[in-house]
Amino acid sequence: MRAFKYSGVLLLSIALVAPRVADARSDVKITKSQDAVKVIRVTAERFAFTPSEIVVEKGTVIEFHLTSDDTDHGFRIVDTELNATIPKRRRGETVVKYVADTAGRFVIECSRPCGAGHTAMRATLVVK
Amino acid sequence: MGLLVIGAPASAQTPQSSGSREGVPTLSGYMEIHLNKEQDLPTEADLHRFVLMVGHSFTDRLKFWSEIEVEHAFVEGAEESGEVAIEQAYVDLMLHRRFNLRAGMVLVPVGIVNERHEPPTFHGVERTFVDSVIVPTTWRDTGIGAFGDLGRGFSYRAYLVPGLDATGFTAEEGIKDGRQQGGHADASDPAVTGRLEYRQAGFTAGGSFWTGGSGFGLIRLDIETPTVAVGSIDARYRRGRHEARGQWSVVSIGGAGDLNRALQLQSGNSPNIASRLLGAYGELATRVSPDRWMHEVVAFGRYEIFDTQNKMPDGFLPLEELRRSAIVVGATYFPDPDVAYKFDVSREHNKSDGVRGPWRVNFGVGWWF
Repeated sequence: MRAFKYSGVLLLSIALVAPRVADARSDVKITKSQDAVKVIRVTAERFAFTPSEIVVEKGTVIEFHLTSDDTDHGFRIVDTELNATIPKRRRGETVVKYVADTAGRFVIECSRPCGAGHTAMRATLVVK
Repeated sequence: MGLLVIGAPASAQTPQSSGSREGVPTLSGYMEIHLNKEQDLPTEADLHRFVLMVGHSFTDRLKFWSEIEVEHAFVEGAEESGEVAIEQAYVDLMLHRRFNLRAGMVLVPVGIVNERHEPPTFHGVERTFVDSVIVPTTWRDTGIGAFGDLGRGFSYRAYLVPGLDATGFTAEEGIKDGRQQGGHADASDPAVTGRLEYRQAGFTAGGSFWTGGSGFGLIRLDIETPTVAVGSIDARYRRGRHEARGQWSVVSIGGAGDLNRALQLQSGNSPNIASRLLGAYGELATRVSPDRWMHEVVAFGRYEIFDTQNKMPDGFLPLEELRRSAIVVGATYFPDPDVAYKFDVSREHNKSDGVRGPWRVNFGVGWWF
């Protein structure tokens, strides 16, 4: 029994250090703002976006290619006008261009109810 | 394909998708109907679940989500019929990417299916035996906790919830009837539960735990307070037309021997509760329909172990017929990714020499909207 309690503490400890040693491919970093368009592919699946963090330089023109592995999802960048629908699995992709001309951290949320974990389905756009 | 060109955000024109915007509640849900035939039992048709989900955004940082379920079509007073239950009802306060608060009726984050059980998300008419008997889904309770995205594909959620009621534990279904489900739940012996999840494109892996007490129903008995610990690891992978998933779950019940003896004094029969339950499954699925079809047909096969007598306390012997396994094969037809017509056959086995596990044939339709 004690082993399970310690396992829980261990899991939470891993949660604190794991991102530092994990494979960096989960997050996408775009550092060149001079290129015309930066293509970023985002996959939605209950209940997460992959990648969950996108980092770009201010001024970057992002071309989001949005697909879903299951139902249709929403892709909304909070405090902006971008609010797109991601079509269901194998129903194509939505392509939207977004000019990241304001620095800051922007929340990306799923704006179409998709199930039990919908409210926590979020990602982050960091504009440096 | 849709191509939208957006200028500076303030002047952009985008199609508005219906969803959880401020002040506009959302309605969604899922339903399942089943036709079940188990060996030696009558064929049964059942509106198994009718679930409505209501969500509301107070602000972009403050959101409400709920799930109400009716099982088996109707509820009749004083009769053993269906069930109406609140499966979720919580408020999320978004503070930071890595740390947010959740309070209300929450889903215990153990295993794949407990938090992710919309009908099109799993193959088979019924949820897996491991999730039904070992985990056991749908496991929810009132609680408070935190969740967040840790970056590099990692996310977590962790809650403080009431414990279990050991007087409901059984040999056949383990801790399933010990769930309090958020109604007048005794919280004097709370539990901690959590999940760490990792996602890459097409791949998700998770580790979950639940640990807490279960003895509040036994306070008048002079026995060691039973404790429960649940550990589970799982993974899902999808690549092209192929999918794979697996889960390993173990439940440890501390003080099971004293629990059996105490309950035997009360009822006259020993419930023969195990000190360890073990469940595991591996599933492979392949889309067999051609790529040019928008409709999808997926064939799947699964092998499961669900052993609720895996280890017994001293002085107790396992009931071998409850040391079970099953092979499940079937297919799912998706005319739409949100609608699933399901078929499966299963054969259950156990370690008993005298009791034979049944076969089952199941048909079902499930949909999400």
